[in-house]
Amino acid sequence: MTTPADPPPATSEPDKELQTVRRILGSEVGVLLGSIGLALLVGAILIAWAGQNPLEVYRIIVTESLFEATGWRDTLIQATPLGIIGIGLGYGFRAGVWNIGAEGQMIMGAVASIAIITYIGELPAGVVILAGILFGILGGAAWAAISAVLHVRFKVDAVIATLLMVFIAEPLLNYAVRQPLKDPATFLPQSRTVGNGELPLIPGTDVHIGVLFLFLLVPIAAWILSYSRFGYLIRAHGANRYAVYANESRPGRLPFILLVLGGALAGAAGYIQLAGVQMRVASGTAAGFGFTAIIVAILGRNNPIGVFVAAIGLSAMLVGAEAAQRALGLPVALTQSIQAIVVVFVVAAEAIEQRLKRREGERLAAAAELGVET
Amino acid sequence: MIDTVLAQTDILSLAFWATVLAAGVRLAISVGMAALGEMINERAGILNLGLEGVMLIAGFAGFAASFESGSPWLGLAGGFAVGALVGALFALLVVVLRADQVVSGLGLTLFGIAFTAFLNREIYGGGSTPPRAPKPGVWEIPFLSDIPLIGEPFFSQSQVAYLAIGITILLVFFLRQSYWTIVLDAVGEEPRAADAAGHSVVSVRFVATTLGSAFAGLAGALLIVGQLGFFNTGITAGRGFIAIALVIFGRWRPGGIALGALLFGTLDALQFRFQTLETAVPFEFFIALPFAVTLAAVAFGTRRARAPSALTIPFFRETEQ
Amino acid sequence: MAGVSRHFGLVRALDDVSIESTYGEVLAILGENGAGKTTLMRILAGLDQASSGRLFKRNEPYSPRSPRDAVATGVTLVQQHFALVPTMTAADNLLLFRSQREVRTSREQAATDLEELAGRLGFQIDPNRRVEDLSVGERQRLELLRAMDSDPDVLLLDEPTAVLTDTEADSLLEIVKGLAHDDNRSVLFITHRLREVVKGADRVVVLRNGKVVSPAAPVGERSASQLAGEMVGEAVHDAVRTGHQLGEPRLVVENLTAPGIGPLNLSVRGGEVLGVAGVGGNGQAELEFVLTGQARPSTGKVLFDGEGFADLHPRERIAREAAYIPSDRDRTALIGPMRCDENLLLGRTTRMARRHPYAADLMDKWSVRGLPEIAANALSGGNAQRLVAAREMDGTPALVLAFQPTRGLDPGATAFLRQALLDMTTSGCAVLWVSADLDELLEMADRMVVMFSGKLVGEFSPPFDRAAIGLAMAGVS
Repeated sequence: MTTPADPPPATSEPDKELQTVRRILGSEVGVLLGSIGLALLVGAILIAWAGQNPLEVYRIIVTESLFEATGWRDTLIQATPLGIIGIGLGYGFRAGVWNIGAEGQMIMGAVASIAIITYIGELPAGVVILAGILFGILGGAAWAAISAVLHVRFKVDAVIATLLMVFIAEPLLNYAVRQPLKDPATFLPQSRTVGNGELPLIPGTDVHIGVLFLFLLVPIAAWILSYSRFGYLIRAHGANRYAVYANESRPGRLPFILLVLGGALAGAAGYIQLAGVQMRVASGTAAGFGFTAIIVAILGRNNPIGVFVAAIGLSAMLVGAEAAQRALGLPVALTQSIQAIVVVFVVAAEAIEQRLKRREGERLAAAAELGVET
Repeated sequence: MIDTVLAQTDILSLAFWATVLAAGVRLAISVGMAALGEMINERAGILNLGLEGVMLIAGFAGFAASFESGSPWLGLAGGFAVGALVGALFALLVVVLRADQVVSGLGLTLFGIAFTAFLNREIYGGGSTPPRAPKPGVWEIPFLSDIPLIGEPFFSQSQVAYLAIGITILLVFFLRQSYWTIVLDAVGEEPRAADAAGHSVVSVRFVATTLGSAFAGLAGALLIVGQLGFFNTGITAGRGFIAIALVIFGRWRPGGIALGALLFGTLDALQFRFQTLETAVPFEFFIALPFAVTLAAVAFGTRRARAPSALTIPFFRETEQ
Repeated sequence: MAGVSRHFGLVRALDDVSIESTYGEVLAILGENGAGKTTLMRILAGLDQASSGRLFKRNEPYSPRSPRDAVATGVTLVQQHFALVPTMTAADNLLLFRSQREVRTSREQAATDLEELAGRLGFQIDPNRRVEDLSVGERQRLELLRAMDSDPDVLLLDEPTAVLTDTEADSLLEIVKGLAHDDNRSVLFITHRLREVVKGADRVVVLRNGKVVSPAAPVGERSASQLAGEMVGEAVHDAVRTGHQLGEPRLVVENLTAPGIGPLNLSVRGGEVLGVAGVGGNGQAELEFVLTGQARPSTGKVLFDGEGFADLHPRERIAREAAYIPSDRDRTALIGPMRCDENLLLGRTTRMARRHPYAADLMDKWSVRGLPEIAANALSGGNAQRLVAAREMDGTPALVLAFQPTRGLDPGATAFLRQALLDMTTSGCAVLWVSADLDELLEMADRMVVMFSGKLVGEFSPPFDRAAIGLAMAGVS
């Protein structure tokens, strides 16, 4: 084709645009660290009020959770379900699909796992473990699929469709461990132990191999998000879903897939937590991991690597908090409060940053109109 | 856990239902009040998933006020005031700064659970036998309380029940009559139209969020100060989230929410009794039922059963700098 | 008002506009899209401020800072887009607009007031029905009632009839006329419909490109075709199309209806540019959605090369080599925060790993100034549109669906896009070109149809009769 001749691009223009990109990136990390620092400062005031030396407390939290062997182990084990669920939720959030029902999806994953394990528990360990994780994934995915149908087909807000299902999953769990899946050997409402379904330890350590699942998942999920077509669609959907619907995909398809995927990962986490830590299913089996994972996803900016860092960070704070309680008698609840303060500060900082970006965008647009191109 | 009345085995007797209904009313009070508060901010377009946190913080503050002063009524007022304060901070976050409502709300809930646990431990030791504060008394209305079936549930209750019922009636009346209802709904449904009419979307949302949170704070105090008289970690046990479901169930109307609260409460009371009975239907069914019904109502309901259009969507004026 | 200008950046939306209206008359402001009509109204109503120039009301300087200011001085605006809350009743919507001093009005009182007001204006309205259950005509009347609630002496109406049927529009114009003549008010209304100027206005002023091209004069003084000519301008470009063969019909639309449009019939032949002219808001957006699979047609058929083309999966549309230049680039074509190379992948089968070299080639070929790795929203409008064109039209598309492809672009990009679209036809591609810019279509189209009120109201072949097309655009057949 023939095109009218155009002047060659001015060399300074792309440079300037690149600089803007760099500045925004720089500010993003800066704002994140700044807000966490500010939150820790508020936390320090609370610690001081509780009669402790904040620096000493923070030192213990960091060293005990990250620089001690047992602390490391606990941190990793706790971070595993948080990270696995957080990655799935992060995918959804990145696309603008608010799955906040991972708690219920994790429960249903654990229930489905223990159901199949109870049934086929006598088979060799490899088979039972495989069946366990498969049913965990299916259980979580199926539960999320109900929310997904409600959201996509019946236009129920995703927040409502996923959250309410948590409160249906909880009584279902209680019923399951009280009646059909109850361990006849005890009087408590709890299931049998996983038996052959138990996750083995990584040789030479006392960390179960479920942790490896997270370590495997992080790079794969990160690669998919950045370099695959699917990841591309997730990012595109989050930034402008209408353009995706006009050019790539039918409306609702991606939200459906992402809700189910989030459920599948939550279900997998349900099995891993069951077969690696808890050994049996009882009331409260998800222990808030599904909700905390939302925070993990947000703090990690919905990016698998960020989610991993956030999961380790939050988990380390909890492990460190227990150490601080043992060493100094500082209540765990205080550290948990500081954790929540961090979340709130980060969200606030993000909102402020968005506003600044909006203004920056308007400024750029105005500059463009004033003759960058004419 | 609240009532210790022995299970009646005769499901068909009036006395059985009167007892169940009475327990239902007691269980409905706190969660219903929280839902009324949440309704106010949701109708302005603000979702507060931090309800549970507000109930705990304000409930604890109320308990402290009640315990230190010896007056439960001061505790209830304290709960309301602290609820408003927390609500104003939340509004600063989500209305003024326009931070994400879902995450901010969950953050508030996490903070509330942990922070009250911490304060309780610091101030009251946090032991398994918590100190008790005085509770408001029971008020038996002469004659009316003797009516079969409804006498016990409605006319022989703690004074806080009458307070809650009174506030509900006032809210129903106020929302039916008021100019401010229209402004509130316009801001939640069509903020652009409200803006064009000269109403400040940010101000209305700020006030609604603060007020909604104040009622949630009162709800926490009603439970902890008015009904239990003691505080324990996570004592609200998910009532904040149930209240959010209740708002949806009640279709964002105070009357619907009050009825829904009674239904939720009665089902809850029923399942307490069924735990000790061997019935064909597992008692957990009654716990899950309200949520399933709520979901179905939202899925199959008409537009009027739907959430305010602008719920969770921050408002930006097109021409805003 | 005297010598009012309004600049947005370098764009002059209004340039030294002076208009005078008097009490007791309806003054129509006639003009096509982008003529500056709406900007003018927004300034008068306090929603926007003039960059220079002054406003006067009853010989007093008048400078409203907000809509409330304007209302307090007796000036109210009925905006083009309804500012009504659909879930609330008509009466509640009235109440919403009353100022806070009147909060004591009960809802019952508001209902009575509304009925009374409607009665005075000579029609009926049920104050207790929800807005979502009202017809668009009723909604427009409700907007008018709401504006009249403060009893203004200057009433501004921005395209009040845009969404109305002819009968609804006539009755509205009748009411408006009464308001001006009987109660000695000044009414200014914006329109692009000549019929309504003739029916509803006493005097008319014509705006074009932010300038007054024809000062206010009584309606009867100028003929309809004169006014239409002034509205669309007289500029003539006799660009000659390079010789090309017209082939068989490729895109065929038969009895197509969808909410807001139809029934429509049209066909585009291979190698042909079919121009769809018309003032924006006459069903072009609905046509766009139906032709590109974003909305389902209610009845009728869309065929492309003999096969069904309606309600396609977007990838299927792309597989059939149908390029799509949407009217709302930022919403439908580009993902602003994402990189240019990623934007070029949208809907294409190119692999992610190859995106950078692929994009570098394509951007070079289509003269997109920028780098593959910068965000699409950092591009200027002209470059962004070239990026869209590069993605959609590279290779040999069989069909191009272009909707307002040059709107808002700088002259360089406009020329580029026009040439690129014309070049498509040499390989037998069918081009459907929807534009609100008549000059553009006069120059580019092989054939032209005019869209008005959701219908195609005339078909024209070269040499185009500009005046006749102008009349068709203004709804005079």
